[in-house]
Amino acid sequence: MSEYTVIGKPALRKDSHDKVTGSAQFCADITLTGMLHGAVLRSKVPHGIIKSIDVSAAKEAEGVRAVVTGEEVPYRLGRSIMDQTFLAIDKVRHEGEPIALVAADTLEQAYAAVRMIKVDIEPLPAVNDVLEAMKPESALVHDRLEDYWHVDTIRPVNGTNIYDHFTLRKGDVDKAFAEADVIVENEYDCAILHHAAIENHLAIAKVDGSGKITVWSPAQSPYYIRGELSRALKVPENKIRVIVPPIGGGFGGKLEARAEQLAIALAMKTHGRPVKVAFSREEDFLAGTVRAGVHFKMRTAARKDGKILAVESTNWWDSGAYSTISPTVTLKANVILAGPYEVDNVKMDGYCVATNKQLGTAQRGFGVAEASYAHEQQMDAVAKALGMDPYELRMKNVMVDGCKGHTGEKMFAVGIKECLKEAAEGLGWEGHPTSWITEDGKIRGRGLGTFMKFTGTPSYTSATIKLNFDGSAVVSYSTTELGQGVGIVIPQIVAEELGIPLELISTVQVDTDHTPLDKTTTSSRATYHLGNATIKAAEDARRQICQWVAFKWKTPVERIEFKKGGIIVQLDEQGKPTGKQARMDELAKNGLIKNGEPILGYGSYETTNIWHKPDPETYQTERLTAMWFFGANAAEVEIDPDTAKIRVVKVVAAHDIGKTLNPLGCLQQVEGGVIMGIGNTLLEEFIHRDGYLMNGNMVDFKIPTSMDSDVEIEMRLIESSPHPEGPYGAKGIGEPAMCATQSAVASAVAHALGVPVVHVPIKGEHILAACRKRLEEANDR
Amino acid sequence: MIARFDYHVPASLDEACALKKEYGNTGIVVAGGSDVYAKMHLGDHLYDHVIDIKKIEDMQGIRWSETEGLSLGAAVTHHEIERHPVIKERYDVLVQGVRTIGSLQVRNRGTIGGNICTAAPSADGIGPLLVLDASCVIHGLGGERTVPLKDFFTGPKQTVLADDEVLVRVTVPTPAPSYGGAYFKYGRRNAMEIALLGISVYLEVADDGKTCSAMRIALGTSAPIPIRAQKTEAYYIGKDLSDRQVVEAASSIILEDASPRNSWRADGEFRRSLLKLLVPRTVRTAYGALTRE
Repeated sequence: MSEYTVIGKPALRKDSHDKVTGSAQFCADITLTGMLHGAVLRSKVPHGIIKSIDVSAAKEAEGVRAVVTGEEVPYRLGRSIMDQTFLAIDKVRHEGEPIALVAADTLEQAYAAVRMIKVDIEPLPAVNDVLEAMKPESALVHDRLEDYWHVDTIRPVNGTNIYDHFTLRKGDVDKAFAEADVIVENEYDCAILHHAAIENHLAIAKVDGSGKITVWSPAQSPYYIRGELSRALKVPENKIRVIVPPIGGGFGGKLEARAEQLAIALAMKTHGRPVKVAFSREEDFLAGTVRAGVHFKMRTAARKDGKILAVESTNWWDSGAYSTISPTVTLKANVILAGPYEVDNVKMDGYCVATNKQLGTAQRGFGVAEASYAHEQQMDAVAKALGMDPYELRMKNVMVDGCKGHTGEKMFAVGIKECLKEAAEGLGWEGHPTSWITEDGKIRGRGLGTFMKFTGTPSYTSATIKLNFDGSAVVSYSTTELGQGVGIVIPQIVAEELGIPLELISTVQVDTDHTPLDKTTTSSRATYHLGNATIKAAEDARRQICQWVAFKWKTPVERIEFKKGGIIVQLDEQGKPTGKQARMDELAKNGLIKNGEPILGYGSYETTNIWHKPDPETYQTERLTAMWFFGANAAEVEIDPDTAKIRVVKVVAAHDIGKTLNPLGCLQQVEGGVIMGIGNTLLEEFIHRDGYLMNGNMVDFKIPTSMDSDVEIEMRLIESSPHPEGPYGAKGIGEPAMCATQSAVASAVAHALGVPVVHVPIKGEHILAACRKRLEEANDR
Repeated sequence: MIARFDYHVPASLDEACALKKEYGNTGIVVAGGSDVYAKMHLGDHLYDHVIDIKKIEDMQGIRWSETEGLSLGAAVTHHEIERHPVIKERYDVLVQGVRTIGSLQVRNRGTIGGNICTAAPSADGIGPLLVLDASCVIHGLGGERTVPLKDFFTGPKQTVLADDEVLVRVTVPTPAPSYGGAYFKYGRRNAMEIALLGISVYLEVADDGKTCSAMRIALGTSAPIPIRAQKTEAYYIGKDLSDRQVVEAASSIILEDASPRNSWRADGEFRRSLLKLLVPRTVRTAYGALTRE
């Protein structure tokens, strides 16, 4: 019997019905009175000098109300480096970069006017390759990085294309390599990927007579966007309001302002009329956001008995034309690039690099899936070199409670060992070959992937719970529903804490003028941070309820007890129940709080106090994060040796969840994460030629369809390492759900074919020869 | 966003031909629109006039008789073909081809005539029709003519259609009572995919059940236009198709027929390797699918 009534039980998301039936009103569905439509003139070249822009014909065109060019809006955006203007000024740095804007009565008129703008661009050589970009003779994407403001936690290198050089130093790597029995050295590549959310970037903006700016936007992190816009426009935050309609998927891409600044630039010239700017799918590919490509150089040292002695890497992240939050991606990947293993000597150099390509930013995992692929290929290579079972090698090295992490901190609530054990068990690892040929001539392989990831710290959030007299409750917060299920987990917590039935608890639309302060919806943080804040808000509500009941029952408040499950009990002077009691799930009937003092519970949670600033050179610290996530996937693949096509047969996904709050929500995250991970590993890539994007559409950029998702997924939720500070012990699952799929599938392919996988996505071109060789070897035997 | 255009809905073939002639390069004939509108959506102003032929009676419907064979209206959708009982039974290779086009939604819109007239080398509907020896019934202001499908394509995305001509129907003779057919599409995804290779095979065998008496092979995305692999076909005639080594030996000939190119979609060398493996494999599949009395 569970100690909880709601927590840990499957609960259907409250927005399911609206989303499935199509009745949800997304930002694209919103039409405001007097609203104008914006269209964007975009650069057709990846790199060039703007010689002239002629907007005269567009200004005179039918229905046109405003035309904007870059010089009129010289505001700069940038979370890490303020390197990005709203519109290109003087220079364009990627194909699709916005150059000019038109607002007109109809969308057709706006597009027609955009076609009338004449722009003369003198092309420059494109910085097309991340390794080329590092060479001293490379053209520069930004001529003077030093002229931009940047946060003090990053280190741009003037006169280069380096946005940031991240370093981590632990132990003595050189000594460890000198003493090693085995050294494994490899290079790995991951292609640029697109988030490909079902909803493109878009926004509606309105500037009223007082100068107040209101933006309707599917922003993942509305307060973050508000802060960005405030800094860019030099307008106080209270003059900006961000309203968030239901979001059609984010995956990290909706963290960045993309359409918001364009809509605002137009709305500043339309005398109060709102302007909608909605990207087409093609615009979203060119000028939305991407997951950066990366090239890893990896070196691992091991002892004969399998002990990993050192891991060293230099890696280059193809972060595109503007830096956005990509230095944080480089950082987060490098901190865990030695994997969830106890390694005494670690040396990482991560370069976040500018190229004339799309803007790299956060994508579900902040670089961890890519890093996991690299460190797990290394583990397989070490296992092969030592003649050890890949599972045993990993088990020998996994982190345990109390060990010293890569950042030098003492690790706790470490569930990786159980995860790895469960994942391997789920696939029947022990005694089974990792490569074999099926009766119908297909090549099968099995592999393992592990990961660790930390949540962004310090951060903060808050929640309020309003009780209605009819016994229902409304919980407010500013974490957005991206499909991760925050809109059901938080009501579950309220239901658990207050004893109010789940169906009587609703959530509200996120709106920075109304809903409480929150840092961001990223980093798999919502359940943990907002969950804690909600528990405190419920405590506050309970205190207020008890006070009111005490008054009503004419009993000292000390003799009112709020019991688990929401039963309010009157106690006598000896502390024994008098028999007088009321139930929270019967408030409508018992009228206990009706017409009483209104009850509004408030709770907040922030992690400044637990965070210790890492040393900028070594990145060593006493405590880096509120929460570490761990997990392992085990995968089986089947490869057709005639086509080199890979089918993922089964994935067992084991996650160190701490405590499962909603198993149905976890399953949805894991299924989605595994399929997204398979897409990342086998299909998705941006293909550029000289900086031009060849495949910026949904036919040629290949996300998995339902026909590509026929994989058996087994989820195992590990609760043996609850987080002492988490709500009921819970950690996060949103990003973890996909962090080890890429590595496990790549590991399975590498085992199947007996060669390392050095590039993802893994394409037929890369492995056909290896398939034929594997088949010949089998036939020779 | 699609740029503004004039939309014409001719009621007859002659009207369609007259409009097509009048507007020349500024116009485009459209049926399902799965190629045309998708391209127009990219924003560039491509056409002033769209001539929608969907409503023309002569282009509708699927007709079949044992003696006359199959006649497909140009405006017949892929999905109509997929679910037609006679086509499923007698022309299975065509079903195998069209059911790999796009998604069900696309196949509900896209038409066989459109697939042919777009003349993409990757078209999944064309290869099966080539090996089934289909012909095109063409209507022009001067009258009607019939052109074998294998002669319909004149260059990349080019056809024999004159300025005043439209494709009306596609006719397919009744195949032999016993034949084997197979379509193999190589793409990276299993749906919503453009073929990186498309291989269609039609074969017949002698009374011994294994000696090849007829062989037709069509290749998609292997040349600038959809082609028949005539040298490979000739190799197979008289060969024992039950002998795997004999079937696979054709891999040394196939590149005399095909010339897949390098593109950002796929490397030419990779496509050549695949052709050598997959043409014999598709022949084997077709042989395995022989309908036996």
